Amino acid sequence: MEKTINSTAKHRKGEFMTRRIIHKTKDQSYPDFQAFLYRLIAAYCIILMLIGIVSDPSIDLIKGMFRIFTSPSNLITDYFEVGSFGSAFLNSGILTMASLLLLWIKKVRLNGPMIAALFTVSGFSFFGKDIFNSVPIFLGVSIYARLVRKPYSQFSLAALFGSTLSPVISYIAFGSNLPWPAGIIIGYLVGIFIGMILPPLSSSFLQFHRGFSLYNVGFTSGIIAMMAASIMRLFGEEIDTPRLIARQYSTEAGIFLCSLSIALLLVGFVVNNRSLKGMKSIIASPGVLVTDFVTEDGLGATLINMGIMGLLMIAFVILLGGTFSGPIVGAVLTVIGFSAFGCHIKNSLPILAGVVFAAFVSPMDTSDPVTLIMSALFGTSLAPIAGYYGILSGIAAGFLHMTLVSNVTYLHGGLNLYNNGFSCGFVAACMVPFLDMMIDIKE
Amino acid sequence: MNELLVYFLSNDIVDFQANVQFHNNGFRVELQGNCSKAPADMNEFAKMLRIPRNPNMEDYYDELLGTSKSHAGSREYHLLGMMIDDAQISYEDFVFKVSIYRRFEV
Repeated sequence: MEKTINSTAKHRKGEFMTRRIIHKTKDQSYPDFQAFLYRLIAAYCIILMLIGIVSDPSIDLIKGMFRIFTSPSNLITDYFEVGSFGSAFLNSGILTMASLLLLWIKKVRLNGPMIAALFTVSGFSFFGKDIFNSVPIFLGVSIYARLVRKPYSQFSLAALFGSTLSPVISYIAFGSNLPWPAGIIIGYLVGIFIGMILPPLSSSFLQFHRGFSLYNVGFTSGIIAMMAASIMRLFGEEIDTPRLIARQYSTEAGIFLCSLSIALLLVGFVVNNRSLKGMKSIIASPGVLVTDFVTEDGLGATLINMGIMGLLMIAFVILLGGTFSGPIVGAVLTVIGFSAFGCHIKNSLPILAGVVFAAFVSPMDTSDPVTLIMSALFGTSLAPIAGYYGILSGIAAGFLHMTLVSNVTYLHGGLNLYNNGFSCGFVAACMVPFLDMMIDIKE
Repeated sequence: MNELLVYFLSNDIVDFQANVQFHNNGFRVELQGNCSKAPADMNEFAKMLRIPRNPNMEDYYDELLGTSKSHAGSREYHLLGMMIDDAQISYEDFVFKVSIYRRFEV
């Protein structure tokens, strides 16, 4: 039982003292919004699937799904282009629903990190993840949980984020010179192995960037994918990095993202008793890992923050003349998800500014702004730097990220979908000790 | 332990004792020190430690605890709160005391 006592008593020497005792006991529990949150995300998955089925109600939908499943899926493979508009949405709905069901079966409590993971799965299902190439990672994590004799639920976060490496499986199965049956078997075995090593590695790599890159699994997976790509190259495999981007569905995808963001805002406002309570605390937060807005500031305020960030990212894409292709839809959904887990307008804007600044002062060709927009949106992984060290540091982080991100893709051959997370890990690891030193000198 | 030490030192509590006790089901860490007034952010600190335990998070993020350089401030106390089953924070007779308990099995 929780007990708080505040009393003023006269001390024996004649001084007044304050007596405060605060207890936390085991029967304290989280607010009971789990059922609501599960239903809310399930509704989101159903809407994704319905959009897919309604927009493409023919055999082409199935054919599109087949093309998605059999695509090598490494960066950048837009499922709008490989499959179709409908099949990409259906793919996202199916994989997100499967992930949600997995969490529900394992009785995982939904919170900020879990929301971020689910929206990341949903977003990357528009350009790289599908149920075929994600299952081996989930299986590998499950085997690891059994080996260390701990419940799977403790590793569910690593499993969901870990499907960033799903192109490794698809590439071996369908992109290499191996015949399909052998490719699928080897791909699955490699995927299971990756799933087994990912939980301990991702936890360990947290110390590298000290929690200042939100996409920690992206960094870990970058290291793993770099090794996988190196092994493939050692055996003579040339990894092609495609650039398949569909621009013809921009209006429909933009309307979807706008509707989703506005819906999150409205639902959040209603859940928050028609108030903005908790928003001040969210904006004041640096966002350093682990910042769970759901637990700290409430579900309502978190949903409002997600909606605001979604609208901000949509405005940013339009402002830079971008189109809502699969990867850009994925990037916006990922930022929306991470707005339950560290990102907010105050710590994200400096990163966007830094990335744009780097693009415009360099001779980079910005006539096709896909790379610029993806780098900026995913660069919000570094939002904690802006939140903790200030706006200028955030701009510098965005600048450095833009310079680095285009150079790291070769290392993993696009086999790590969270390429920006890989880059952000390095940026954070370089900047944090330097900024700490500056603070120490100042003090 | 590191996070509790940092909290004590950051509140200028330099005269303190630490005690660790292992039991069959878990272990308890206690720190108590002398100070002329209660830490100003005692309620905020307690709020962070009072967050219910969340076993789904701890195996992944526990590496962020116990690092040599403290960045997250209250975030680390929040993370610590997610990893413990019981916390008692008190200030009485010029003695500030924190006692946390963690069960081995969830």
